[in-house]
Amino acid sequence: MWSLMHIPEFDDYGARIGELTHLPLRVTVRTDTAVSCNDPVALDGVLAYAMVTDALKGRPFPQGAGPFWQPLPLDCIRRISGLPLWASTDFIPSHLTKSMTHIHRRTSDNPYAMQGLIRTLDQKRPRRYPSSSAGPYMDYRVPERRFVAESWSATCIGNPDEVRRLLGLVRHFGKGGKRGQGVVRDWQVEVIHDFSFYLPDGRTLRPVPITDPGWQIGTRQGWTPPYWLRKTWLPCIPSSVASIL
Amino acid sequence: MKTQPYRFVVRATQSIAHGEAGVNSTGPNNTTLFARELALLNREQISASDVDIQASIDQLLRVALVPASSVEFLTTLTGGELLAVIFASQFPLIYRGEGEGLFAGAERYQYLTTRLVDAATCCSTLPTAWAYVSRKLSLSPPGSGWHPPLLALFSLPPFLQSAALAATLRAPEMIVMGARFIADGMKTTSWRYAEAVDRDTEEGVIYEATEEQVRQLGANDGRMLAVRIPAISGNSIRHNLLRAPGATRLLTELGLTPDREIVPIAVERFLYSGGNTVKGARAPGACDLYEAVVRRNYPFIDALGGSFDQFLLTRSNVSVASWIVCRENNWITASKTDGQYTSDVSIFDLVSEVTRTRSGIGGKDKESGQMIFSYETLAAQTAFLIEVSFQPYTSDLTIGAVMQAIDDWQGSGGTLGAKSAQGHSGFIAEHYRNDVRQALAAEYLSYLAENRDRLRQGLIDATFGTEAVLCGA
Repeated sequence: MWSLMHIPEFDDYGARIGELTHLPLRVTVRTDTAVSCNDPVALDGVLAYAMVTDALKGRPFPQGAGPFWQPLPLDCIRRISGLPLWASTDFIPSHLTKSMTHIHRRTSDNPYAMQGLIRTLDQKRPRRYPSSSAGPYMDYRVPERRFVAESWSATCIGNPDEVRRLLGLVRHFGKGGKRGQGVVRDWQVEVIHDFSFYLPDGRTLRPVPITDPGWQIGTRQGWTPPYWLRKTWLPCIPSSVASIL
Repeated sequence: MKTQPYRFVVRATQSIAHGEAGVNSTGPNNTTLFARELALLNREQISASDVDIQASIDQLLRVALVPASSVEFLTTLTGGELLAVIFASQFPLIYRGEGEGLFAGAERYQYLTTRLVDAATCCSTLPTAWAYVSRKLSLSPPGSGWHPPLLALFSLPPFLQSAALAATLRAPEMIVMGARFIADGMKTTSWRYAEAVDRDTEEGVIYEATEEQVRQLGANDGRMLAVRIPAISGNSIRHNLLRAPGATRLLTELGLTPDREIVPIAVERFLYSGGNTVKGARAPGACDLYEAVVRRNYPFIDALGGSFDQFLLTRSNVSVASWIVCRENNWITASKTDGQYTSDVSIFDLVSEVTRTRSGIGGKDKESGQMIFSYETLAAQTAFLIEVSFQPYTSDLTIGAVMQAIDDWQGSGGTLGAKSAQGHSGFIAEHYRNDVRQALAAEYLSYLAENRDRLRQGLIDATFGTEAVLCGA
C-alpha cells in the first residue's frame, strides 16, 4: 500500500473548509470548444486540481512523492487506506457527438538546425541535423478524440459556495487545454434533492473500489484525485460514463 | 486581473492553407482538406427552426423509389442515415451500367466512398456535396429523368441536409453499401435484367419513414448541432504565435544567435518543440525542485512548459484557443468581444480549393510527367479571434514573455497555418483594445538583459540553472 503524506498548505485549506455545510449539488459546465479526453472527467478531480492551484498559488504539484491528503469541500463516503472516496460523480454529456482529429508534431523544425550544420561542415563530426523521418526528432501525428455536448453535468454532496469558488479557477475542461480544447463558457452549481453515484441497475457514475470479496471482476484504475497516480490504483467497478465516450 | 484571457483578432492578408493532419483519402485524388474541428452550432444558424420534418421527408420519398426488398433494411437506419443512403444511391442509379469517369470499374465504390467522405467534410449542403463528388469523379450532368429525386434532395431544409452529411461521415462504408443495395434492387424492377440474372422481378415502392426516424431528425435532438468546421488547430497557433517567436527572442536576447554561439541540439528542440522524454525515462527525486528553478529562471518555459529527457513539466501556464469570425461562430465571438466581432458570412462560403502542378520524379531520377495536387484554403480577409489564457497565479514576467512573443510573431511576418512560402497564411493582428499587460513585455526584456550571462550559460550547458543536465538526448 502507500503512506499518506501531508502538505501544510493543503492542511490549512482543510482546516478552513472543515465546518462548511454540505448539500446535494449538480455541477454543469458548457464549453466554447470541443472537449478532448480519453477517460470520463471526474468532478472531484476537477475540484482537486483547483484546490491544488489555489493552495500552492500556482506552484507545481509534487510529482515524485505522495499520495498526499487533498481536502475538498465534499462529503467523504469512506476512506480506503486513508484516501477518500468522495461523494461525487463523473461528468455526463448531454447530446454528445464524437469525432477524431490529428495534431502534427514537428520536432525537427527550427531556425538553428541548418545554420548549425553549415557552420560545422568542416569539422570532423558536423553538428547533427535532426531527421524528421526517424530517430528522436521524427515528426509524428497524434490522433486526438473530440467531444462536443450541449453541457456536461456531474453531481456531488458539497458546499455550494466553495465548489463555485474553486470552479471559478478552472478555465478548461478535459485534456488539451493548452491547445484550446474545452474552453469553459460557464459553470453552474445548483442544489438538488438527493445524490447517489449508483444507478438503479447497480452500475456506477464513478469508479468505485471493490471492497466486497465476493466481486470477481474489476478494472484497476484511479478512483481518487489525482487519478493519474498509479500507486493508488485499485480494482474498481468502472464508471458507466466511460462506455458512452 | 492580469490572468484574465487576452483576446485579439488576426485578419488574413492572404488566403490561408492549413492541411488536415490526418490520413488523406485514397485513390487518384491528391486533395488535402483544410483542418477541421468539431463545433456546436445553434440550429437557428442553419435554418433548423420551424421545419416540417415529416412533410419534407415525405416529399423526397415520393420521388425516390426504393426496391421492395430494401424496406426492411431501411427501417433499421437512423433518420440521417436514411437521407444519406438515398442521396448516395443516386450515383449508382444514375451512372449505372459500365459507370462513368472515375465511377467505373472494380474500384468505383471505393472511390465513391472516399469522395463522399471528403464531400461530407467540406460541404454543408447536398447540392454542393453532389457537385463536389461529380467533379472529383468526373461525372457528367444527370439526364432530366433524374431531376425529381435530386431536386427533392437539394430542396430539403438545410438542417436535414446537414444531418445526411453528418451521417455519411459517421459510417460512410455502410451508407455506400446501402446505396448499392438500393441501386442493385432497382435494377430488378426491369424484367429483362431480372431474367438475365435469374432473379425475381421487383417493384419500386415508396418507403415510409418510421416515426423514430422522423423523431431523430426533429427538434427534440437538442438545441445545437455538431458539425466539423474549418479551424486552425490550437497546436499550430500555439507553435506559430508563441513558441517559435518566444524561443527565438530568448536565444537572441541571450546572444545565442545561429551565426555566433549555438545551444545544444536538444535544447533547441526543447525550446522550439517542447522536447520529449527519452526511452526508459525515470524522474529524478529532485524533479520538483528542478522544475521550480527552471520556471523561475525562464519565464518563457514557465509559459509553455515542455518535457525534459527524464521528466515532464507538470503543466504550462498559457493556453491558446481560436475561433474563425463567421456566422456559425457568432454566438461565441460576439460574447467574447462585446458584440464587436460577428459576421454574416458562413464558414462554408470561405472555403475554396487551389490546384497546383509539379513535375513528378520517376525511377532513376527521370521526370515522369506532372503531378496535380489540390488543397483547400480559407479566403483572405478571414478573421480569427485568438484567446490566450493564463493559469491563476501566472507571474508578470511569464505574461510579459507571452506578450513579447505575440509582438515578435507579428514583427516576423505573422503567419499561422502552412504554405507561407507559396504566398499563403499571412496575418495582421488587430489589437481591438489596449491592454495594460502589453507593457509587461518590456519587463521581460529587462529581466533577460539583467540576467543574461546566467541564463545564457544555463542553456549552453543544458542545465537551465539547475545542478543537473536536463536536456542531453
